[in-house]
Amino acid sequence: MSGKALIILVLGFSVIFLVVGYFWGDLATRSTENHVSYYKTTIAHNIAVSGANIGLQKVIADSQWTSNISNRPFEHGYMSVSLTTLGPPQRTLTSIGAFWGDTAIVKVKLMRDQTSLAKYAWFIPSVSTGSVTQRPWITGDTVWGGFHSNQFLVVDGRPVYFGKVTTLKGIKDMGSGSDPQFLGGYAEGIKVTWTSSMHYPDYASIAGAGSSFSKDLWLKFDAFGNVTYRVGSKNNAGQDSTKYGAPTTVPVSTLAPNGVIYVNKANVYLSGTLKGQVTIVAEGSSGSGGPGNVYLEGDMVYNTKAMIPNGEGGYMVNPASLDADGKPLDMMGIIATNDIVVSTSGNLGGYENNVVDHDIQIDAAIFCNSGGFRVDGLGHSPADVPLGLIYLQGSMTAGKEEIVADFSGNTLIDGYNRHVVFDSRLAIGPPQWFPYLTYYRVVSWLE
Amino acid sequence: MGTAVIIDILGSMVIGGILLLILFQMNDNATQNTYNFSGELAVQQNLVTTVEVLEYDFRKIGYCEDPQALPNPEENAILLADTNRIRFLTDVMEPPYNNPHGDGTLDIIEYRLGPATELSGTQNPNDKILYRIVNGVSKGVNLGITEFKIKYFMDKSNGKGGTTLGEIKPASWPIIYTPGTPTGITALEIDIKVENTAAYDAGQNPYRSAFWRQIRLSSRNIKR
Repeated sequence: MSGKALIILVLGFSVIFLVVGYFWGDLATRSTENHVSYYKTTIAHNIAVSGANIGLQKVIADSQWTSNISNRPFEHGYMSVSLTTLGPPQRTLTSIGAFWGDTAIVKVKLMRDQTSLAKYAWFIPSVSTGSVTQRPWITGDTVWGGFHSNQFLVVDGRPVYFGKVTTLKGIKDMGSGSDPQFLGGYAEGIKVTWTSSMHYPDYASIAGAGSSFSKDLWLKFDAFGNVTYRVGSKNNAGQDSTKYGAPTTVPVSTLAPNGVIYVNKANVYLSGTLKGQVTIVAEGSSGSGGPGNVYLEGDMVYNTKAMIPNGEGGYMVNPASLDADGKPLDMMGIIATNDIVVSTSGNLGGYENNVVDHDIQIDAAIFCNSGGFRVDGLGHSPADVPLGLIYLQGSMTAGKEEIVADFSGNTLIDGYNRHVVFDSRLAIGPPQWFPYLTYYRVVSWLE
Repeated sequence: MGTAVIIDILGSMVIGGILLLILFQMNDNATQNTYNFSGELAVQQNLVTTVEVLEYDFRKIGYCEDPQALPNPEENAILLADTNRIRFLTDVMEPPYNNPHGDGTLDIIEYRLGPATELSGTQNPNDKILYRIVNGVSKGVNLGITEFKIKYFMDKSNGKGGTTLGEIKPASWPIIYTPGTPTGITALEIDIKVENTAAYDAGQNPYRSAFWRQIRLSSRNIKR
């Protein structure tokens, strides 16, 4: 074979290899481009979803929020979030994620809505001064219904939660190997913002002059729809029965024609059996020791129990607690600027009913704006011994989580265990004039 | 012309023959490689195309342009759950196509994988048709899908280590949900495997394949 033929042969093969190599290289490039394209789309989508979550967190915390997120660098891409104008009940949040030339859009429709604060069996927006660890839920504590803490959920032992439990900061175990039972599920990292969007009614105006008091008020309800009330004959009558005027007994609807009994800059001392519906309000300047407290001088229950055992270890709405239209017969709201206190002293009934006779039963939706739910004189005689159980059927929203028991390890040495059952009727309708929140809720999510 | 010339000619023929055989083998290898590379690309493109459509549809489970038409999607959106079949409520674009995301009227989409016998005409014995059925109108496409599996998950947090999911494992499939009954489903795991419908010298070479798993796909409309 001559040299010329060899050159042609080599050149020919080289051309063939070049063409085929180029074609194979192109296939490989296109294959890579295919992956890269999907990767870019996925990252852009993730950025858009993150932008939507960030925007939603802002607008749910502050319903007046207007977006300031525009081309914000995020995960090597950019996010922009916009929100339609305030005013209409429906707003649309649009989040655009951009990553290396690819964009993805997430659109979330929000609807302005209201929700009662009586929606959890137990809601801890905050804790009082002092260590959060003073307030553990321990063996023997049981909660049926939703539970939320904007703090830790502090546990020691084996408390049982039958409803969904959510927390902002997670679980703090005060023991070694506590084993809380979350039978309805658990999630953390969730914050319920309540103060900025809360609607707190003008109770003085709603109650009117005939239902408003400016001195301590002692109320005892009976099962016939009446209430006996005594007004303090002087300021700060407190738990001394001699400092109250003569008792007056009237139908609940007479004392509270608008459904509210209102006490301003004083305290309410409460017990009995309610037949009907009423909301008790005690207002005063916020702060420890100030007025605006409600003292429970004994059991405060409904004439017809709201929740009854369902035969399977849980609770169900008592059909007898509803009228023919399915609305609650008996319903109480207890609202205090400061504390709701389980009374353990004085001669209004607290000592006999709550200390001598262990346990206390409370049927009500409770809301403390600045204070919390606590036991009077805990750790001091006579409240320096185990007092049994707090049977709460209703809901608890206390601005601060307070103390109802003292512990040695996870052993209760004084105060109460808690047995809380959410009154499911509250999910349909809260007590009259109960505080509520305005918020935007997600009604549709497109991505 | 003598013996030497004959030897030269025979030698040339042998060498030429060897070169020709090499050329044929090279051509065969080049064809096979081209087929495999092209098949690989086609498989990956088919996979991405399928995945993009699936992701778009599945993320819209429980979505409706008019939210009032489906106020509680977590209770109503999934109608049927099976290991290779799902039926759910959503909103798809309809004529006159004014809104690319939906027309505000609820639609029902069902995805299901057909049997392998439907595609007996293809060389690959395992490929199946993936059906996308919108409001009862079935549209199937053969992209070489050989596997389409769905797992369903619900919240099973136990309070130790954040939010966790638990797989739903009923005694028997499918689960048919009654509207108004919470399904509990908050996330899906989706497996898809795509293979070439034909392969070069299929008896000797495997079908090119690509596998994709969406570990946790969650439509926000069913998880609020």
